[in-house]
Amino acid sequence: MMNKILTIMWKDVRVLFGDWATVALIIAGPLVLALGLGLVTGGFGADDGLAISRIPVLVVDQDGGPIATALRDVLTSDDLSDLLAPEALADADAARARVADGEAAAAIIIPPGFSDSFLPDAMTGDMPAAVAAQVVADPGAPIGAAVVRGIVEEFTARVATSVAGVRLGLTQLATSGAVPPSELAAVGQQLGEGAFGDTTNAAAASLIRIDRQSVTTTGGDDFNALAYFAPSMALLFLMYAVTLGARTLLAERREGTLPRMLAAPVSAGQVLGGKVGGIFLGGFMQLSALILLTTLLFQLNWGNPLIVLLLVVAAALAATGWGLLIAAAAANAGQVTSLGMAVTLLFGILGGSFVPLENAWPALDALSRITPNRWALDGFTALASGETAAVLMPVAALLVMAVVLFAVAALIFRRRQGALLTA
Amino acid sequence: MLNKLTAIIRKDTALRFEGRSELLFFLILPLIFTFLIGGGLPAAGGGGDNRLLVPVADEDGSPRSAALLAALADGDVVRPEAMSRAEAEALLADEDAAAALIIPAGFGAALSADGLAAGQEAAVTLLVSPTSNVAPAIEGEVNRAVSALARPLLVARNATEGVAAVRPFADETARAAFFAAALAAAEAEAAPPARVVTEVAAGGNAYDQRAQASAGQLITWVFIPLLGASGLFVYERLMGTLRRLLTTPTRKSTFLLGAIGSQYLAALAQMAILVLFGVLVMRVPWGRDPVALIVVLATFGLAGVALGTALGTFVKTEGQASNLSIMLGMAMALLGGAWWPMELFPAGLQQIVRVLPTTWAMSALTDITMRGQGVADILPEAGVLLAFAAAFFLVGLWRFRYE
Repeated sequence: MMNKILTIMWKDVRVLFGDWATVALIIAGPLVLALGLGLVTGGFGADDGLAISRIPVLVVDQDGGPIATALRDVLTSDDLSDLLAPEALADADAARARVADGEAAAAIIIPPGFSDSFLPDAMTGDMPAAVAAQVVADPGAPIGAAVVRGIVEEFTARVATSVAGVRLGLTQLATSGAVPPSELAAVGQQLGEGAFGDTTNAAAASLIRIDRQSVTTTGGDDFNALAYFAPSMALLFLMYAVTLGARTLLAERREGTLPRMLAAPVSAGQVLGGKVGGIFLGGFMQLSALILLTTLLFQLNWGNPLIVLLLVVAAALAATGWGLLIAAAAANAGQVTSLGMAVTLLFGILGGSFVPLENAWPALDALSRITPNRWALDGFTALASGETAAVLMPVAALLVMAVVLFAVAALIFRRRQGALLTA
Repeated sequence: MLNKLTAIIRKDTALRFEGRSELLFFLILPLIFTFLIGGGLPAAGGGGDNRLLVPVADEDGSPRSAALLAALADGDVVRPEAMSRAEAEALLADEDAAAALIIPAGFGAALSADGLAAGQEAAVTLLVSPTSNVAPAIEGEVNRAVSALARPLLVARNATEGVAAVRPFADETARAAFFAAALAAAEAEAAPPARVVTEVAAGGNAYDQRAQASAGQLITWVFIPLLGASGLFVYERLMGTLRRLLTTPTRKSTFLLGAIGSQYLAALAQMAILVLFGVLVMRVPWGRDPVALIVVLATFGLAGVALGTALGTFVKTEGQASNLSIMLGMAMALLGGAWWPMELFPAGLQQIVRVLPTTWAMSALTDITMRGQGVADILPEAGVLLAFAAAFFLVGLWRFRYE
């Protein structure tokens, strides 16, 4: 009996993987998309030559004063050479035009009077009106422009803080009488020299350190974007693979091959078992092939192989349940394809395959729990970080999902497609 | 000829929309994706406050840590919410937040006069999700809040150290008294004037996730069915209708024009609906230069349908056409910058993807919606899209067979 079921299963798997365009979609598709998403999130690290490009920034110094020069020095310093690609320009309008054309992420225009506006009046000690540096941002390069603005803001804040420290120190010395008025100018000069020696010293300018940590379930700071996007894309296309399999249920009925099978010495149960098993096996093989390929090609660590196998089986079962439900609800094979693709894409966006939907509507988060994508992705990311126990919940949820969906699909089939095996 | 063209277009349109499921891909899914990816939903638990939720675990409980929380809340980007570290980490793990801030015990003490004199270091921990596209904005806000909190302390410390260098204090008590007086004076000072102003190039708009999503999803959802036009040729070929056309006085070019025309017109209608949705629901400034917009959408549609035509001469079954158009459409949309801004791509890849029509289309739509550019500025992109269309049509015509 098992031989007959296995034969039917194997036939369906051969049909699924026998079409090069299908293989391209369910195997090459997730690989290409995971690689692409990994590249744009910069998760491959700097060592493999795939790091994000340097930010092109144009610098127009119309001031020429000491603080403008110090700012230019900061922008061209070795510390920022991996981050910025600065280019000096003389014409502010030309810089604006190039940013508008998307040739640079931002332009920094340092207007005349910029340096002088940081320094208090020598006679009165009053501060002149601030002359602000202009950061012209390309809205098409939001992150680069924000980084440039952040660097300029940090620099000017550091200089302004140093100047304020000098002014305050001098004021305190004068009002306390610690320094006679005749010596104030000389002391102010000394304080200024000491303060501006620090303007390029980041440590001196920072009192509060921000310790940034990537919270990843794939091993601390060594975040590999593929560890997230490879399973997320594999699961996205798993859903499509099972709907392609489920499609054959209705396609074979339309073509009359299912009833013809009954002419052979097989029972209806064996035929249906073989068909459902074929859907499951197709999904299982697609997911397994992607895991193997990403392990071999990108040295991706998926975690304990046995638990990975358990999770793959559970995910393929749950996805098969959805495939059966779609087939049960659809009127014809074409509808299975359309509904299957729609469900695949909806589950993909709900499960965070395209862009993370964090901080969104709570109902959306709850809705994502009905997708195999969400549970399986939780399991795979937990596994990759070695949290084996944390996989139990996703596996249990996927199995429960499979049981419920199989039962519902069977009920609908019984009511709506009772003639499945008859012409 | 016009009658024949109309008849072919009407027939193909009827074929395409005979099942209601086509509306899923033509309208419903594109709108859902644009809405969700563009951040159309209100933020979690914000009660109408759409700022990004940032869980904050204040393990210090000092006035300084409270001040940091207040500084963080005093902006229009993030919404800090105090909770335990475990709760904050759980929100992050469940992807309900993109970042969480931990203020450890001892933070306030390190920023006290004694702590600063002793050279203690105050630190906060910012936990960020590496896959989040809003984490950089949160990091920027935390930097701003930290700078605001540290400024008077830095001014007082700089003043004290500067004075100590030129007029050494008699003892530690004198130094502490000077620091306290300087800090009080620094805290009493008005907020410093802005030293940096930001302007958007050419009077465009600041980067907007809604504009990126509206343009990017338009490209994705229009491009996939345009490539799917390849399936139409396969269908006709398999059904034998193309061969039957040979018996009628219909030229190959008339048939091709009709078949392509129906897909092209449907794409134009779909783009018009998505643009209207962008304007009315997502508040995207699509209408800044309608002529430029029409030029870009028209040329993008031509490039897409031409590629679908060329593809149709390579594939042998409808299944192949469907699978390839989905895979190529999604990959080309992603690599063309439709899902994420192009600046995130490595420099080499940015050059390579210029061979894709989606790259030029996305660049032109970004010019219109965000860079505020007009017809003259998008002509180069439109020209390249037309060249793509010509090249793909030529391939399609060259390889087209009735059987």
